[in-house]
Amino acid sequence: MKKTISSIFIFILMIVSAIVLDYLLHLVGLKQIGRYLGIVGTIIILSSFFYSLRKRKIISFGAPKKLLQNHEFLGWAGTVLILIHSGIHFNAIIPWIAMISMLIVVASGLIGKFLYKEAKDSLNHLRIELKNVGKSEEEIERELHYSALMVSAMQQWRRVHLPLNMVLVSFAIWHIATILLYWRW
Amino acid sequence: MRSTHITLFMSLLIAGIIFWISPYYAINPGTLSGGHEKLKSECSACHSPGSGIPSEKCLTCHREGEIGKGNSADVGIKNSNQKNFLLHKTLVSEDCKTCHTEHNGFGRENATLNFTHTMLNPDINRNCQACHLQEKPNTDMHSYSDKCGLCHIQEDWQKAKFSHSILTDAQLICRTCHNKDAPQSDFHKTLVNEQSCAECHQTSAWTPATFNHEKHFVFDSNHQSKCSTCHSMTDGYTKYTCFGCHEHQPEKIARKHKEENIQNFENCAKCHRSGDEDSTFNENSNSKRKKNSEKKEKHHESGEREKEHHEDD
Repeated sequence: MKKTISSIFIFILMIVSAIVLDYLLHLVGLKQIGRYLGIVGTIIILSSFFYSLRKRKIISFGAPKKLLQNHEFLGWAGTVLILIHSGIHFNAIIPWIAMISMLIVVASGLIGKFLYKEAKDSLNHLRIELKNVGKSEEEIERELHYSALMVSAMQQWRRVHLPLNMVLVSFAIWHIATILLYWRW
Repeated sequence: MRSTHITLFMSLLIAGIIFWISPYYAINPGTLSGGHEKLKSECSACHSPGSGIPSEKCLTCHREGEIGKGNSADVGIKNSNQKNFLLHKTLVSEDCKTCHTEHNGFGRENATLNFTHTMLNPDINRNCQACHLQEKPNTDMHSYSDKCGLCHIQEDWQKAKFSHSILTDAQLICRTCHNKDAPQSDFHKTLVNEQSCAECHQTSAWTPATFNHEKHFVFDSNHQSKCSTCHSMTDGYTKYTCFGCHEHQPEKIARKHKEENIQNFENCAKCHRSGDEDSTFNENSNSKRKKNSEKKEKHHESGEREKEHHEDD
């Protein structure tokens, strides 16, 4: 329950932070900065993908655990900046789909974080319990095999999280491309 | 992994289709102003993909040299705006984006950025009346000078600060502008010439009045009189007489002064700045009094010697 509340809190905090910062920018007459925060937010989110590259062994530097923590934080921070950039405007479809999909991806990410933590804790608990009961290693492994279904839930989750990311990436690419094409250089 | 690729491809395709159906609703960053509403589906009417928004695109509809004469659809005097016309003829920068923007809302005012006078040709910038002649108030105050900048600033026209320094000596007649401000007290009613105002008032600040009686005469215990004792209500306060008091009789005063060999004693306060008869401000008067007092002393001395001589006898 605590973990669920924590995830929801992080999500709500992200949206509230964006609203407050956007309001402050309007208050001091610097709302134009929001336009350029989109660039900063995108760069931050892209930099969070070092974790994905490391997982796929495309890069070999960096500890996966540390990169995962960076992925979570940078994804959150980049999303806040992009929320400020988008503001509360209902002008165009493509950027809006990109923004909605970004929020869904973040929510999905928080769910994944929750599942991962649950799975790890659960497996550890079970291992300790079985050891205390006096089961042999073979029996422990057999028991854990079924419990690894929880880990399988994680894999299922990845099958949703990655395509959602692709939706975000596609619409973001279109948004950025059209900005570059039609910007007042 | 396969589903990931399929999702990527499908998303890109869907986004492309949305853009193809309606570029305006797909990517427009804000509502177009009313006059450009009809260009909703023609992004390339203003945009050159990859090279921004060149002014040539604007001039396709807004013909150069005729901006301000009418709208782009019907060039004529229907919506003629002389100020706009002159403004566009005198701009320093010919890039329309310097002043104009779009996708900022329906209202026409949203399409114009904050105007600053630095956008104008410097010669025009100095000549306020080139654009603002009709706004120039038709008052006496505004007839004194054509140099609006002497009192006004471009950033805030209303914050005018009038300075009397713009007036020539011939124009510095207080009552021309301030006649209705003149107090109606007995004191002020007697002041009829312009020099009278300047005696006590400054152009930098009308109040407090700077009149200092001690400049002319210092009051003392003998001279705590009313104004009317020395000044005539009909002649004004620049004129005075000391003969209003019983102490000062014309014959007595004349005799005393002639004894001192002082011939010009019409203007008492010129020498007597206070009731103390031994204090005078006039050097000539002092020197005369000194000579006379020396004479008196010599006279006294010679008188005493004679007396002694006679006593000796």
